[in-house]
Amino acid sequence: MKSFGSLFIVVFVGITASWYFLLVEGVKSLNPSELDTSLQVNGDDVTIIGHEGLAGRGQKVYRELGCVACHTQQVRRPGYGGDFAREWGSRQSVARDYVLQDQVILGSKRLGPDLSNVGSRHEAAWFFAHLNNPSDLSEVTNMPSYPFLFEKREFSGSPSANALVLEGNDTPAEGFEIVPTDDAVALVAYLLSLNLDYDLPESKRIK
Amino acid sequence: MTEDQTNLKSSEEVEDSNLVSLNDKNTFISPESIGYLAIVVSIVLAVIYLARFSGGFDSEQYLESSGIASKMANLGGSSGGLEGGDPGAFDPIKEGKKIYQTTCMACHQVTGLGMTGAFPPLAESEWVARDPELLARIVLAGLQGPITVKDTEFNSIMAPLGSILNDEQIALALTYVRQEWGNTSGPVDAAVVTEAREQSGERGMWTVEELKSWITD
Amino acid sequence: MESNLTLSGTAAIDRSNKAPFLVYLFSALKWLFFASIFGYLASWKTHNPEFLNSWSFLTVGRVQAVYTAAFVYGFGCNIAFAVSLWLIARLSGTEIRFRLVLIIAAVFWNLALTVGVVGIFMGDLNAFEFLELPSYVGLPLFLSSLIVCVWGIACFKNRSYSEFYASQWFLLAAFLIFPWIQIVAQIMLFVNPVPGVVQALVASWFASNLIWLWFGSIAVAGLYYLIPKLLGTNLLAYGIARRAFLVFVLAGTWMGAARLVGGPFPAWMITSGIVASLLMIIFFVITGINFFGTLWQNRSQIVGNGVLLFASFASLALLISGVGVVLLSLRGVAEVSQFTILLDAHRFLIFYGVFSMTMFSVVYYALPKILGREWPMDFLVSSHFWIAFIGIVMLVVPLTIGGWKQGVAMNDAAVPFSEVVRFSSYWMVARSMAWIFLTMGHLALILNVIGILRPEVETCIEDLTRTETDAVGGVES
Repeated sequence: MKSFGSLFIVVFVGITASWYFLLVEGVKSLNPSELDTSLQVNGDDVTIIGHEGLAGRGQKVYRELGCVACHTQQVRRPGYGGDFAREWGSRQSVARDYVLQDQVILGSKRLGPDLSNVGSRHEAAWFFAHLNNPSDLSEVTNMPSYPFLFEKREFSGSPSANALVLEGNDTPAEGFEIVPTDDAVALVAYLLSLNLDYDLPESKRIK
Repeated sequence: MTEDQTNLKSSEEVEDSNLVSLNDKNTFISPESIGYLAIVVSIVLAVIYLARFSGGFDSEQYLESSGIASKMANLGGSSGGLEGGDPGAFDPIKEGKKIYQTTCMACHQVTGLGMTGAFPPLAESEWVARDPELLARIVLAGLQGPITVKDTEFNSIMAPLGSILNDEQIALALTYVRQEWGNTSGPVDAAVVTEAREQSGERGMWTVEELKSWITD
Repeated sequence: MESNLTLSGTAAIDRSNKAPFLVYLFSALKWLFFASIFGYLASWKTHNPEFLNSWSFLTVGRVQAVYTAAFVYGFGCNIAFAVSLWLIARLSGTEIRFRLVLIIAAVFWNLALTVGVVGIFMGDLNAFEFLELPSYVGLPLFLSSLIVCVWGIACFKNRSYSEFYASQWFLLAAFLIFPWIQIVAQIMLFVNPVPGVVQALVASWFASNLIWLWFGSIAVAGLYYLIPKLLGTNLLAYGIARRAFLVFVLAGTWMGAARLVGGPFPAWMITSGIVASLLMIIFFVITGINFFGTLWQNRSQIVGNGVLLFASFASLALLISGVGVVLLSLRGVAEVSQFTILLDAHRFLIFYGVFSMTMFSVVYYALPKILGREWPMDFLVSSHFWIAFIGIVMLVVPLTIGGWKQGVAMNDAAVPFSEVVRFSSYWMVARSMAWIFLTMGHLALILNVIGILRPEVETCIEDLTRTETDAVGGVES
């Protein structure tokens, strides 16, 4: 290294090359115009969507709670890791699956299961009960409960249509019900929308 | 960018720390030759890896080498891949349920029972059994004002969903609703929704009064 | 500009750069204390999920984000600014001019970071590692760091010495790269977000370059300076250090993609990251020889010398994490290690074992020189080292073993997921224990810094409380 000039050139090339040939290339080849979001695969119509409306609000709640600290949303291909064997997905998730999403939350740690296909694994009622108190549904779990996503309130007459049906120790006292807040409803709608149950040319399901 | 170094003096750093490189250690293998060895080894490894696993630099290629695709196919169950078991079949009820649960559930609830005093129920509702053209219009442009459902009066707002859902999605959601929670009506076709969208055009929310012509029971 | 004529050159430069160094050091230590608490809390919550769980602002996802932000941007960046400015000034033989601007930059950095951390508590966090801070603090943070980097480069350009040392190469690379990666991340993720998974690619590129080309660079610069100076001998392979630097800058910037293996990315992107990691063998071997090799040859000098103890550990940690970088990038290994706590251990080893320990080393060396007096409690320096050593080993080793087991079990569908959760919790307890030791070490450092600054504080108080009659008497005290 002889002078600042040559150092500057080397550093510039180093950082700009990776920026251009990796990131900018990525933008050029993995965007919605390059990757059709409405296509036919094996005679079926496949439409990729972002998360809209309620599910979109739910993605915001997911991000604001920091769920990414323990959950991923990417399925590795069958044969690489245990994702396929654990029925977390029947095909690898690919760029096209995420191309219309606002903020992609792939995650990098699995202290809890992968959530790419969780919408097809559980019903809404299960999600509400799980968020309220995970240890109700799983004997051994490291997931914290989210009591601030729910409201405990009194009711007269019949309980609300969206009150949680709980058993055992968690059943609220007589005359009280536990009702999800708007954030909880949005979050559950988002989780229910997480589903990769369609084929793509670059990634086909294996049963 | 050239440096004019003639005016610069030598630093005290040089005087007291001897950074000028002189290999004066009598070792069998000089540290520098280990360094050169590392350079050669790592370049060789890098080139081999790049040649084998680059996937042809194709941005639609997710498998790093060609043998993997066949290995993956062997992981399938006894149906041996995509034949049999109908994995590609499209289940409209399932699709409609997904749309319902991500868009309609907020108000009408997962049980279809709605919220007392706020949102009408869909379960065993006479409205759900009515003309699909009526239902399509309500979903597309929204509804406001008083409405009686199952002998109960409601007076709130249903937001228009015409810009959030497309015709196919609305048809699927309606199909799902019409067969769930005790409802026994037939499916809704996307063409009906398309026609309703065209005929209604850009409009504000419906009132029950305006929808009278589609209420035939 | 000629520096103070009454003191010798280097010492004069140190004294004149006192204010920025102290300001950044104080900020760093304050955030270090805060980060230690949240590091412990975040770790505790991973195996005791119901602890302090009822409020949204203390939910585990947000606590993790607060810990990362406070530790990396609060402690890490502040100490990086302090050390890099001191080092470039020393090696250039120049005073830093317009130091007040640096101090204002420090104030803004810490203010913006505080706003950001409060934002995270309120829920404004992002889902990218090392980019959790809300986007509205991105600009003030960028501008503050830009000032530091520009000042550092300017100091070099005004240098009075002719040599161009390895330390300076790495410092300049850091100064040039840090602002650029921030701009890229802020624009491509928040101002004008790129589509889909490219966001994760940008985030991974940023994270890797932050860890290696900002923090790693400054650490390596510190080691290139301290080791030959303190041992009084040549580095074993200094002649080829330039090659290591070239590889570091040309290939090291590509490493980020390797972390995304198995993810929704075309194979070539991931392969590029792995190839870059393989080329980095050159860097790790050469710096390994230069640091660890030279230290090993002169190991008798290390014992009892606090500064060298920290530097030696950092050199060893650099070598080990280099092995980790290469191995963990390979697809076969990543299949097991990915998504596990093993990656936590590796990141921690780099950020704490290499970077933080080098920073401690430089602070223990530099502050006495800057203030012109010794550490009041010299035993605390080596105590800090040994406590930190225990803490780091207690964190890295169990998480590595536990993480590998966790990965193996996760890939085996016959093991129910709840079982994986159960046994990996036990390994994570070690991390919480480690944080107790690490916090004690931080307290030792803080105590020593307060101690060494007491005379200054006392003089300040004296000046402020001197009575009017004394002043009027016109006697210089």
